Amino acid sequence: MRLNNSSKVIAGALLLSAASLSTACTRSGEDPAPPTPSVTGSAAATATDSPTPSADPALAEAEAAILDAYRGYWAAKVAILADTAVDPGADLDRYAVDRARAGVLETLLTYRTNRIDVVGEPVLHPEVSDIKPGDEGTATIVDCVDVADWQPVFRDTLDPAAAPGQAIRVLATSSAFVFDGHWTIRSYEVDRETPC
Amino acid sequence: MLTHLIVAGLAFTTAVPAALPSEVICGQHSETCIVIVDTPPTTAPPASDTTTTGTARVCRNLAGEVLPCFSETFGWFNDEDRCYYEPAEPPPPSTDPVWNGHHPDGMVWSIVCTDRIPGVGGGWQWLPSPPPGYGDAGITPAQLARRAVDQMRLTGPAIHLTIEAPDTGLVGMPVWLWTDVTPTTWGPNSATASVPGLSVTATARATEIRWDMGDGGTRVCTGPGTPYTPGAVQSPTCDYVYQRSSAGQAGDAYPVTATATWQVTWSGGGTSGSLVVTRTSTTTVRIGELQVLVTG
Repeated sequence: MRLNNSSKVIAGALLLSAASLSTACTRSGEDPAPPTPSVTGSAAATATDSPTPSADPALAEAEAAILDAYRGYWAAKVAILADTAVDPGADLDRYAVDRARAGVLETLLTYRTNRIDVVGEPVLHPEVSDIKPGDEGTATIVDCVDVADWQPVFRDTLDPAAAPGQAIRVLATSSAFVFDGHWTIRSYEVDRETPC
Repeated sequence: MLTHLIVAGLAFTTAVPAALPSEVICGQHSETCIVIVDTPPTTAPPASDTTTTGTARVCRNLAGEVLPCFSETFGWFNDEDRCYYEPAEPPPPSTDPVWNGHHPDGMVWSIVCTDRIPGVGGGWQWLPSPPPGYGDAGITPAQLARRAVDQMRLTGPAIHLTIEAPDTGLVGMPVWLWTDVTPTTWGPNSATASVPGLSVTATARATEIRWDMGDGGTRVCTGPGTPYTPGAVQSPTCDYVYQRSSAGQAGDAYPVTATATWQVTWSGGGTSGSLVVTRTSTTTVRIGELQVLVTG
């Protein structure tokens, strides 16, 4: 498994309380600028409002399944972008549809054209909120993705392909929904402007 | 929109040759913006790879780079927006907003775009009818069937006669006519020809051989003929009796032409069909009069 480390991180993150979540997102010291109020507010509110797993078994089960889908999406994405010269198998299709799937494949095509691979592994800190369980369930996943060890390089030279001066932790917001009988990632958007 | 898309013609000096213009690309699905070096579009000759790929269609992205027109992963290329399209499988339920009230008309398509900013335009979209380029392999199944036949490398019959040089046959004596039965001389034979997105399998069987015996006579046999059995006189399946000596013909021999007719059936691309091809071989046979042998 490529994402063993990340899985551990996710599992660890699940055990974090709402209070430690905000600590985790601001402790890095990478960027001294305080988070914008709106994002901080929504993240804190989300964490506070989310029922704890022990409170509602249905929600806990849904949350675990959502995180599984999110992990699967990431595992497929990391594998695909690790070697952009080859066409991916069906792994991504199992975990992502619509804009989330297209985003990975479009990144693949752009990187392939430019002979770029992404090496290493990201570190994830996903938090699930707004869970609506059921056959037409929906949820939101907010993540602070640490890409310090997951960087684009030019395949031929291994020179970095990243534009200089970028944040190594970026805020990513995903939507998940129940599709074809299981939780699936539908959208994934990155906000590089907001530190986390 | 949380993300600002940035495409700037900035000339960064890190990690890229300074002499070439570079560009920063930030996709809204990408955690990290990248710097790429702009290389001038290669003026690839449009027909150069058509013979090897077997498709007359050439698909290009915005930068002019040649891309496959079909891929199992991405679907079919649409030249108008340079995005790949394939039907969403399984389709979203009728209650999904992407149908926009159109269900069950049209289809929801899964779109992946090739323009340089990932995350723009791709994803699910409802369309009333398939997009331009969908299913266009640049060749028809029937044309591809011809190619499959070419791959079989069918030859003319492997001609055998009871009289083979330097022997001379006799007027009035049956000359047995047959071919070796192999995949290329009689069949059956089968081959598959493919281009991205289309595959056609053809099966060919010879059904008859027309023997032009060189003296104006012909014999049409609906089988490969029967190999000669020493001591036998008439072939049970295919023979010919010359009435005159070949003396005076070019080389004192009759030119013999055997033309096999092959029936080909094919299927692929959701359709099927048939076609007929012929293959020809030639040899010569010397026929003498019995009296020549007696008095000579």
